[in-house]
Amino acid sequence: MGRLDAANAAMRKIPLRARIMALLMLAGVLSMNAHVGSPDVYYEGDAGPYHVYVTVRVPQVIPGVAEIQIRCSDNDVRAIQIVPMRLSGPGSNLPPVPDLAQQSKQDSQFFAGSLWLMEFGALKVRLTVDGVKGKGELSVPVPAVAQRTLGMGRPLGALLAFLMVFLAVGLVFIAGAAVREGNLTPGEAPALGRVRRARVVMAITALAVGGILSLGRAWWGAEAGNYRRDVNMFKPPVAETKLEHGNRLVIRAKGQDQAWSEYVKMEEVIPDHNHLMHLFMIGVPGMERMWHLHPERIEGGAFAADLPPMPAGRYKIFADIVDKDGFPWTLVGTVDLPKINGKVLAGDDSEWSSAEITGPDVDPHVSPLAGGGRMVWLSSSHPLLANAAMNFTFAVEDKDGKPANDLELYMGMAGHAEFVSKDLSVFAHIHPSGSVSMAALELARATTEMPAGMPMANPLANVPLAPKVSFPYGFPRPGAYRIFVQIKRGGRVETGAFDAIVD
Amino acid sequence: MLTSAPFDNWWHNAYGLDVKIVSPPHTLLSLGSFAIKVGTLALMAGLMNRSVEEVRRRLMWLSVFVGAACVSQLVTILTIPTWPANMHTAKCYLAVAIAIPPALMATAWSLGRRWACTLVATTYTAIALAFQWVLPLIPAEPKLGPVYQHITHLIPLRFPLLLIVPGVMVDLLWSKTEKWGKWKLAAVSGPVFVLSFLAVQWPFANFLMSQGARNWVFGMAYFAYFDPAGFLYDPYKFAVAEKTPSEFWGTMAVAVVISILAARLGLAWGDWMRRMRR
Repeated sequence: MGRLDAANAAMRKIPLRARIMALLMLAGVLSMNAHVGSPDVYYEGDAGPYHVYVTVRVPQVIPGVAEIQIRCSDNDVRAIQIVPMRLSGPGSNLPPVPDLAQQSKQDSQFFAGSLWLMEFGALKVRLTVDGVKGKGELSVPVPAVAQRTLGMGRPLGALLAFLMVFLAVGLVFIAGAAVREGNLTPGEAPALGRVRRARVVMAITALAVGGILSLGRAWWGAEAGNYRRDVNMFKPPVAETKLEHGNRLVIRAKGQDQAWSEYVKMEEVIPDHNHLMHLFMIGVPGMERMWHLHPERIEGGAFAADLPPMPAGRYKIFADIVDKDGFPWTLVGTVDLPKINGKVLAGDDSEWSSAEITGPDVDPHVSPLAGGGRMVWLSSSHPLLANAAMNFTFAVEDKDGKPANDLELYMGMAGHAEFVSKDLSVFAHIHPSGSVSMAALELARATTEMPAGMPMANPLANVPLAPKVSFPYGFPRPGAYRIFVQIKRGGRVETGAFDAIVD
Repeated sequence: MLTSAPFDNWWHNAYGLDVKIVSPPHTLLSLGSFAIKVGTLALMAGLMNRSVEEVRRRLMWLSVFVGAACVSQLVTILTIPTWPANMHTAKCYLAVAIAIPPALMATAWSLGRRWACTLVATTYTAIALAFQWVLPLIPAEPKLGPVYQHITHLIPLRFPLLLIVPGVMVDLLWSKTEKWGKWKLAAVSGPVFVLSFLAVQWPFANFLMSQGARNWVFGMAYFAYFDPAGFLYDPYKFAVAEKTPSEFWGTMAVAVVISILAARLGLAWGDWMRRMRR
């Protein structure tokens, strides 16, 4: 264990890992990066010949136990081993002894297990799937961050307070007895001098015990402060914005802990499906407008985007980046803009606007598309439940009501979806492979050993594209949500929007 | 020790699994464990002082072992400040001066025989060396991740501190100062202990950090699975705790003064046990 402390002590001097490992010790936090307010990981992909849907329930505290749930698409899997590793760099190649995910007795295609996540930061869970088609491997990136600290309940507090008093008083009396009678033969009565000396020793011991308890209290406070700092380190950074030249929005990241900028260098963020930053600007409070832009990095680690024409108003900002270790962050901010006479959208940038889409005459499962046609949410009749792993499937129809046959890859994928709670405390940017960032996925794949001749699954190679797009995800908490679904047809990005009430 | 259980469990829930030695609940556990050893020493001292020769001799050896266990526990608590990379810091010697003399000298003084400090220090060394040399013989693999080191066997903590030398030096001093008062004896015993330890451990640290110590005897090539030594930091580089020579020597002066108080505490504790009758 000492090695760990030594390692921690050494690593605290290293900006990058020190804060991850500040193990570590590394406050009530509403939300976290890797999206906002949506900590669990949902991923759908292939472990060799096996198609699986993986859900990782990230623990509330780190180190803590993550729950891993795996649903196999076929009934041909015999066993699944799971191991935690770092996503990249040291710690990404040496697996510990694997844990075995237990196969459900009621549902042979469902496996579940638990893993200790021992460190903050960019980790991955590696699955080794064994079945009738041989073995296959899959690595799922997991951003491991603590979400809260636990308060002490009244019964436990009372018990510990009683034991503290009992032990403290006991120590004082033991010290007195040791001085008063320790050097006497059994049965011999202590002289008055010994009794007085014992009282003095008891008083000194009481003071010493009080001092030790005070020091302990201060120490506890310092440890809790350190942990809170680590938790704060992983809170979503603030997106500080400035409008220049009438339509140029400059964004700077500011961590909620002062050391954040030592940990994440904005100059070193890596591209995530073709872009360093994915900026979402959502009109508030009604969410009646949404832009998906891709700012370019400028000097000093800032990012800048030339805004398209936008009406004056208040906009919520969610800006996704991925640091060089593969850890995804979402910068969060709010900006009040005047009317923008900007340039026309180009490239991968896109926009959506509509009147309020929730109303008695509006089918919540159908969204008209700007270029003609419509998008239909193929949802089941069951109510939507929080924390339930689901597949959100959307069908795209052309203006004649037939399945669209002109879908194209949009930034390398069949679609992008943004799940946003009405109170804006939840924001998740989801892909057909799930909630993991594509940059992290590429890092995970780079360190996953595949057997010779085993083709690596590539969810991007999904051409020709079907007129449906599906997103694995689960709402993190009950409430009202808006889902934006973005696809590309005939060179044009189109967005469908749907409202959902989650129980 | 029992109190630490619900406290530690809550701590894990609140702040995660505290994978470190010195945390508040672990310290409470350690204090409980240490208190049991102190009580054991006191009970054995009372019995020893009321016993005849053969029983007394056996109890003496038991006391040596328990005293060595106390020293082992204290050295474990001091793992971080006395880690090889920290052995060229004054804080290392300050930590040793605070913690080790009370237990070592109390046990030795209570025995009232020659070479008692050496016996206790040697027993501590034997216990530590047994762990150092036996644990690597047991096959093991890490069961938690991430894993930074390829591990095939249990990993010992580290090579023992060279406490034998200060033990011998204090014994030599005590053999010639039987008539000295306790404060005068402490005023010399403390500095002799800490300075002789400094004299041997400092150069020995140079060796530990060298290629010659990276073998099964000294164990300097062993790293725990969770230790990114060699990846994220250089494990063979001395840490710098004191930025200036004056800071170093100031801390060493504090260590010497503290060692006198620690030695006096050890002598008082040992004297009490020597006179123990219950």
